[in-house]
Amino acid sequence: MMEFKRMRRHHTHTLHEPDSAVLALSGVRVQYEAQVALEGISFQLEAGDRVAVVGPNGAGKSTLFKAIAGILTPTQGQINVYGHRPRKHVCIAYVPQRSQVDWTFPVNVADVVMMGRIGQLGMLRRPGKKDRNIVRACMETLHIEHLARRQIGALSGGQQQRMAIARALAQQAELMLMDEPLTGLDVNSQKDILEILGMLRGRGVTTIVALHDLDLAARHFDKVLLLNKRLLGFGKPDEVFTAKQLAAAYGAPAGEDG
Amino acid sequence: MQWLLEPLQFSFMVRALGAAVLVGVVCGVLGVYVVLRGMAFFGSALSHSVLPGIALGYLVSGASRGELFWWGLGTGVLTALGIGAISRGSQVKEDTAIGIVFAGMFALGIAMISTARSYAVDLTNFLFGNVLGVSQANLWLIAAFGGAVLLCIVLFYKEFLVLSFDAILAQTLRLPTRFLDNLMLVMIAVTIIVSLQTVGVALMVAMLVTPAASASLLTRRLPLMMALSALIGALSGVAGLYLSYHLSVASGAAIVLVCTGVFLFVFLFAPGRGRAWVWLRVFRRSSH
Repeated sequence: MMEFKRMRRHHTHTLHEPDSAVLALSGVRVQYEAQVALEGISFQLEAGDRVAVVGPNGAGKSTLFKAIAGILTPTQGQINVYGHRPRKHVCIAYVPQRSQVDWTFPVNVADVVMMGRIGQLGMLRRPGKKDRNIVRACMETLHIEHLARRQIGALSGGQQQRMAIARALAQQAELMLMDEPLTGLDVNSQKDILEILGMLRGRGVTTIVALHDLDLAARHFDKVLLLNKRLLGFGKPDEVFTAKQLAAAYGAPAGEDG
Repeated sequence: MQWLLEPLQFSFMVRALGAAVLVGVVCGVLGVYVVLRGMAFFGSALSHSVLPGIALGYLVSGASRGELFWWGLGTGVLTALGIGAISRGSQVKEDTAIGIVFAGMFALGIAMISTARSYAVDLTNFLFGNVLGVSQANLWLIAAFGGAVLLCIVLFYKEFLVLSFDAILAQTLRLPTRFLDNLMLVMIAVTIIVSLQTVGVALMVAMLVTPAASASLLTRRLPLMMALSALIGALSGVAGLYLSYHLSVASGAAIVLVCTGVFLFVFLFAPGRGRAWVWLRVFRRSSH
């Protein structure tokens, strides 16, 4: 039994290939039935990169995230995370949009953060002291330890977002995909979350953040990725957010937030 | 006291009470997942869809109860996995697909049973249950398969928790989501077959959904919700049987009516969250 578990864990948590990019996409195409969602996407990220993905609704941001997380398999092209297929890793965390979470679900904050540990545990094993310590440490890092016993439905928007990031930390994620983490938050909570992103960089966590606010993307991220089914630009905000490229993404007039 | 003890002198009543308690507990616990994952319609459809299997067994083997259990179990598991496969590779919307399969299978079952001579009585038993006819052997089957469902829920507790709360998380944690989804479908199928003799095909969904819904209004902790739901399910089974005995009401209907009554009571008077308190607050505010 013990042997079986060790093998299983090794299988799901592949060792990272040295000298390989955190994330490398080459010629990725994703197609649902006859509809093309993403096409010809190629780019690479280095450890600690903080990238904002922007593009109009339906640009394929969620599809891109799901492909990187290994939930969708590209129809064409390759995605590698630390030199291996995404499906081989448990170090990729997907932080969902708040509107997609069932906040009436009967769990509290500590329960949700503990969910991040389940992948490393293996079937039929219960969380132990080590897992509880990690969960507590993650809640402390996000300053939500006083909310541990709180029902998730009773949290503010900023607290909900912190909880989701704490769960990703408990998962020991090295690559975090965040879907619209700033949407619907007040200015102070947005500032908090942006500070947390800085803290994550300090820990060597690479973050990819979907945003719809171009201004926030330009001011707070060192790299932006402009997407509309195709990759229209990737690099520093002032290089990517040119009138011409924005027009290509959103349609004229340029600079309008779609 | 006499009211409570009198029915117990009949061994069929004792067996029926045993079955009702077992069914109440299993349905109550699994029902929490059915409610949380919004699978009520699936449960209802699945219970109707096993009718042709039972009908076939009934026509082949006569009305032998022991054999009908296995016919039902086979049909239930196959139909559950079939519906699961349809909803994954769907060109039709999931609820539409389920609706088509379930009504078609149900009609087939009724058509098959209608070819037998004792049509009306037997059909009634299949549709609404006949818990007073539970045999000793049947009770053992209910205990064994009900126990297996409970064991799976305990063994895979954390996996089902993650899968129900956030399916994408379950996938990024690389949990075997396909296996777990199918296991959930099979567990629902087994629970339905186990409960069939107590409440029947048509009332089945009430046992899966109503106690769990009541429990969800009383607590916001999953383990406690399961315990409360099991308690409500078991007590409703016992209370329903006593009512059925003393008032000469059909047993399956009586059990379901008690479940519904408990739900209405909780819906109105649950501490803090009951509708009655909400209305009272609105009334007080407006009368100031």
